[in-house]
Amino acid sequence: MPENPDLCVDTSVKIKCANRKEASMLLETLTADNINLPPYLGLNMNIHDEVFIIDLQYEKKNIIKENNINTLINTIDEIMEHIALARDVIKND
Amino acid sequence: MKMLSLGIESTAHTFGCSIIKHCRDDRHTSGNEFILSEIRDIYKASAGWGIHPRDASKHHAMVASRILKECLKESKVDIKDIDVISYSAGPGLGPCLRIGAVISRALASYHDKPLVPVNHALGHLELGIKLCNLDNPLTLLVSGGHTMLLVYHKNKWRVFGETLDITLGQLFDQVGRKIGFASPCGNKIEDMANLSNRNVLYSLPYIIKGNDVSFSGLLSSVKKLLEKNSINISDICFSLQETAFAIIVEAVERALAFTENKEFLIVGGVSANKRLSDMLQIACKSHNCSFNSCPLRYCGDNGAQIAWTGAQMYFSDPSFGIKPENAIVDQSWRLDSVFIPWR
Repeated sequence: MPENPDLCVDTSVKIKCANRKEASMLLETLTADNINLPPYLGLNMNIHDEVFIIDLQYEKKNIIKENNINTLINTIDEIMEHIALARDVIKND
Repeated sequence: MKMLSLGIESTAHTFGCSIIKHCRDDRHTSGNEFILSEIRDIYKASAGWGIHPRDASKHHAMVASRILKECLKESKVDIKDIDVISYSAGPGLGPCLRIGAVISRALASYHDKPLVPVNHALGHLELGIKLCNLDNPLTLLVSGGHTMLLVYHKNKWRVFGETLDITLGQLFDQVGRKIGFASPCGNKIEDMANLSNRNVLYSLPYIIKGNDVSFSGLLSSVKKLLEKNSINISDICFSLQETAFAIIVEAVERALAFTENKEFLIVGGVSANKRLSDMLQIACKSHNCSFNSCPLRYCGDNGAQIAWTGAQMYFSDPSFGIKPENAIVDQSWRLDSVFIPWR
């Protein structure tokens, strides 16, 4: 993370699952795609009982049009889409 | 021993699921009875446009649950009875690959099943070889993502020749979009070429270096021709096909002469083109080689190619099965880097 960022956003998403097995499934499902993120994005995922928790931190210096907060918005958008999809397919059977 | 394998394909415009039945000793049985179900849905771009990766991934996310449900229903298999889950891990479009990976990881994690990442290009080859009941063919993979000539040798597919720039599928897609079609455009180019009276063949760049081919100059020239309103589009499409396919056939003939292989196989979406098949058949005949083409239904992207390849991988070496948290995608995964212990 850069020192004295121009913009700093902390986001936390908590999803209450049906049980711990489903929360654990979400953690195992999302881990592989969310490594090697850009240095201005920090992501931490864990579970507490049946709750799946995502903490996403965005800190950036020299905000310009091409490098704006859309990276954060798009990352959250894709993560939420993947969560919905994962929960949907396990309810299929 | 019979085992059930679920394959999930999502590298580009196709989202597909398939369940196959794998027997350890059935490598040389013919037919497609081992495919218990194969369901897919294809993202359609707007006219004049190509695949937008994020839009395609949203399409996949929207249809995935339904496709999986239909796949299980058609095969009369319960997800709990699946022995291994495979997914196309690359090469492909990042957002699309991640949809297939997410579904596979979710199912593998929730139902505690082994998960096998499969190289998409390898899937085309393995399913084509299985369906055509071949042993070790010289293989041409032609699609939107690949233009490669391959030979299997010592546990790896070796690239005998490939495109230096765009693929054959990209060439047709970009020309088609210039005309105003929506991707994929190969069949529309073929239909247009068939309307030509075939007495005009425009001189177009013909680039082949050793066994490697190049189509970007051909694309630029065709685009320039299309900008001239006086020229018949059907004649341009005819000239495009004749030139591009002649380049491919020359590379194939050189490879056949060098390898003296007696089996030839063409796989991938462009293999559906009848003119290309006709030209390759003539070349194979002159080299006393059998011509084989992946059946039309399975020449495009599908889940069966992933299910079949994943099953072969897992049953040859269970260490191919990995934990969901380690199941990554790789947009640039090269086919010739995949170790193949089962062949």
